[in-house]
Amino acid sequence: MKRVPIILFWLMLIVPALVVGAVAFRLLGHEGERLQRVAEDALRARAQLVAGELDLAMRDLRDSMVGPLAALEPDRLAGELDDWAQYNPLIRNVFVVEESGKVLLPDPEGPLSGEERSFLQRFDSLFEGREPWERPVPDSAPVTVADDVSSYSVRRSFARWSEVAPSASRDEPDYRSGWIPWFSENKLHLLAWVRRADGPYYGAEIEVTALLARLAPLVRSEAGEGITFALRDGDGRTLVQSGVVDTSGETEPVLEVAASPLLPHWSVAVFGPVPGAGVARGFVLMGGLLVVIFIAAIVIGGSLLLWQAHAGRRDAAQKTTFVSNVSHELKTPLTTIRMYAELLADGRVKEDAKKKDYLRVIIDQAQRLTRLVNNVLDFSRIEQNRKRYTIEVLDARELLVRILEMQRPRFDEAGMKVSLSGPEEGFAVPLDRDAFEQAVLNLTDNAIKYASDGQELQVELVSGVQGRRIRFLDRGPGVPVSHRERLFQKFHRVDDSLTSRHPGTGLGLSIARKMMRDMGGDIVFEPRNGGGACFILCLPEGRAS
Amino acid sequence: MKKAKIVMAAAAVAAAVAMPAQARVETRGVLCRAELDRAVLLAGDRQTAVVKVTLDAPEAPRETERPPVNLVIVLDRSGSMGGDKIERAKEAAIEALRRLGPQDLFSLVVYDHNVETLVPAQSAANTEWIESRIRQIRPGGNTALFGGVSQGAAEVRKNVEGRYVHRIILLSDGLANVGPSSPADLARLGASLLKEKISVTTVGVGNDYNEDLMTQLAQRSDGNTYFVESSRDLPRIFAAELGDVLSVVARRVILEIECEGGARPIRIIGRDGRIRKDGVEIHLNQLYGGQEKYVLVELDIPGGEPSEVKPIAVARCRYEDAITAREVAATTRVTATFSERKEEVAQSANIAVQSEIVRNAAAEAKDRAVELWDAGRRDEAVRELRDTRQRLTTKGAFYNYAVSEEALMEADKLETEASELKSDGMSAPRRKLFRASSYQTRTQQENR
Repeated sequence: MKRVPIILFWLMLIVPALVVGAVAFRLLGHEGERLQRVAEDALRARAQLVAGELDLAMRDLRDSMVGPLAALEPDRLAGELDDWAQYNPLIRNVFVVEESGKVLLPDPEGPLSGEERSFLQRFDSLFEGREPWERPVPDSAPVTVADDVSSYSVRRSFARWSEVAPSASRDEPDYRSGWIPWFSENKLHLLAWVRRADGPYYGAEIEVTALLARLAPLVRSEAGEGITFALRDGDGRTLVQSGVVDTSGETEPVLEVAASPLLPHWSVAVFGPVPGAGVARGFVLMGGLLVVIFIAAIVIGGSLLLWQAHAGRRDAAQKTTFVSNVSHELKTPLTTIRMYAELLADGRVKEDAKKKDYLRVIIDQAQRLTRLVNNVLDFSRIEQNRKRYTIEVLDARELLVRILEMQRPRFDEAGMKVSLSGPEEGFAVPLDRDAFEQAVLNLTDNAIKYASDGQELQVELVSGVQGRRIRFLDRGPGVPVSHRERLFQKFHRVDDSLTSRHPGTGLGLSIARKMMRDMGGDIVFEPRNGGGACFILCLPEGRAS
Repeated sequence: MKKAKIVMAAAAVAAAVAMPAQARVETRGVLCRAELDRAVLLAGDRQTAVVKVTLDAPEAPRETERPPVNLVIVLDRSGSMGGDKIERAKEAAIEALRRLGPQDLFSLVVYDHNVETLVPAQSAANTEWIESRIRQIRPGGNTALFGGVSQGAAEVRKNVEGRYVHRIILLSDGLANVGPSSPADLARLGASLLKEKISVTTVGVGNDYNEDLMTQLAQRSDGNTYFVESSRDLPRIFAAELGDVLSVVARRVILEIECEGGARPIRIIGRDGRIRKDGVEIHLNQLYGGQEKYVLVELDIPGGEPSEVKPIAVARCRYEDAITAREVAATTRVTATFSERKEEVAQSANIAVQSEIVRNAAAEAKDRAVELWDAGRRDEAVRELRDTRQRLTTKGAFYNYAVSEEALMEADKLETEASELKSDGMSAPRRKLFRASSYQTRTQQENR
């Protein structure tokens, strides 16, 4: 299978998956933002509710100031105002000022208290006519206010003080009135005034501190939700707050809404985490995780399919190679057998010695054929898990000696010297005779096939802590590092082509190891010091039960 | 209200008719007396004299008769209150709670930077639950003093229309740093609360709190102020304070002094009040059982003929009887006798009044010294104390009268304080002591 199509297929899989993932992430982000916005809107609505209550309270306050003011007796204005101021906790100062700027109350003639002096100073420019009395107060949007106890009680408390003043029922408003938010030394002061026809301006300055103390209960948050409502002035200083967040420091509010047109520049600020923002974050997080899992599943699944397809193709190719290899392998001994048999059949060979020789070749080749067929049969049995082993306790050494003896002519032919070393006793192990023989044969075959140049094969019997082993050491070319991993894979050959110098099926080692493992042993490879290969046949442990 | 005025005017007239000139009018309970710093004035030129109007409250009624109390404790639980302070404060709050009866109301507001109503206004009979709430208090956070007092006032207001004695006890060891926090702001809040018959008693613990703020708040709302150096004193202070609150006999006490015969008010010594062209008005809010409170007003009196007896002022005391919840008024007249002879004038000196004047003048001097010291004019602060002492002890320099022994001793204390101030400087505890003692003198708060 060629590289380019695989990469192409893979790209065709991964690019749409990533695109889908990106789109999903984007949508998730939008959804998260929307949720966040919804949470913020809900919070804003609550802040506006607070602001609405403040506004309503302020309007009530204004009415409770202007109403009684308008009802005062015109001829006893100063006295009644004074008395009213004595009892109304929300009044800081009272005043009567003529349009010309002449102050009638507080009486400039009498001894002025410090408070009265600073009051006159504060409103100097207003009383002298340099600032307009009439100023529009923007109407705030009507707010639905939760008609609960605390908001009601605050507003009622304003009304209560207005009752203290004499109230006359005047239906037609023959007076003008106003509400002046006045900033002096960066502080808000509030003035309510009334003017009847051409009479003097008169009214009261609101005690803002007391007002604030009364508005404080309106600025409230539910306990335990972690957010904080604060009423702040134009400079961002917290006036009153409700909630656990410390707003006195540099903390910035989450959002801020104007408190009331009657309290310009004051605002209701909300501090702390937006409730529901956590849900939005959690949603985005969970969604993101799902998208990642989804994309990963697509990519991994697709890659797996591609890999399987690739592996299938490779297997098919290997099997094709295998079939041709096997055919080739079978053909060689068959040709030889046929040639020598024909020579004998023709009766042209007269000498007995030669005849014997030819027969020997035929037998050899037949044996080789048998080994080949056995290998293929074993392979298919093993593949189908139909291989049966007859385990009996055998002396592995005796068996090994016999096999080597039998193979001696082949070694001689290849010019290899075989040496056997190791203890004589103690190699009785449970084995299947044929399987063991096949494994040893495959190893010696390999040695003859690939390591005959090394001219030696050392067979060592070792009995140690790692168990009993038979080591096959040759001085051949060894196994390249890149192939060691796959050395025991079926069909694997170091030089996998028909033109390979050494014919083979690529099954020998795979079968040998499989059978040894089935019997409880193993075959491992390690490079030999000084060049060459070392195959270690680990014998199964213990005696057969 | 108009009606009330008419009734009072009638009462005044009745009193004037029924009583002789040197008036000593006994009302239902509170006794109103007026005296000049010298009974005989020098005939001739205009001169200044000080009139002392004393209000004597009767002994507190028995437990069963006393008016119910609407008590709010506002507790600072900011981080600095940790450890012994908060534990003592909790103990003190529980102690106060136990002294209340089932007819009384109790609420508890705690604040750090957040304000929390731990115990909403309810009958003090529910001690077990309230105590468990108090014991849960844990310190931590910043100091929203304004918010705490506001919330306390809101709790009081729930029952403001009942005939309760309304009282907020504020306990703090720190500076207000959330919301309005200048002494002037809190003073105005106090003044506003006084109009609603709510008094705030302030208890400052340790050496870090802002005593100006605490005394101003108490003064303008006619509460008491205490400076507690050791938190061990807290339960005792609370007990004393509650003793006061439980013995309130008169509320919404307003003293009006109306000048007659051309006399004019110059200033009120020691206290705050409104000065008009021809009179002064002073709000005292509450009188405790057996307590004596007085007001000193400096008057400008026109000269009189020798041997002339002239009315100078009418002192009217209006208050609400705490037990019967009825408006009561007491009136007394101030008259002056004129004489040519200086010895007679000197002999007529009222030593008691004079020493009160000296004490108040000394208290005012201490306040001024604190202000000067704050402004960095340290030498002037020390000089202020010394000069005042000089003025008070020099014959003829102050109000033209011989200095009494008692007054002399009072004045001499200033010298000691001046030299200590010079050598040791204005430490936080000294500043607090100056403020607290000055306040206690000027408002006749019993020093405990």
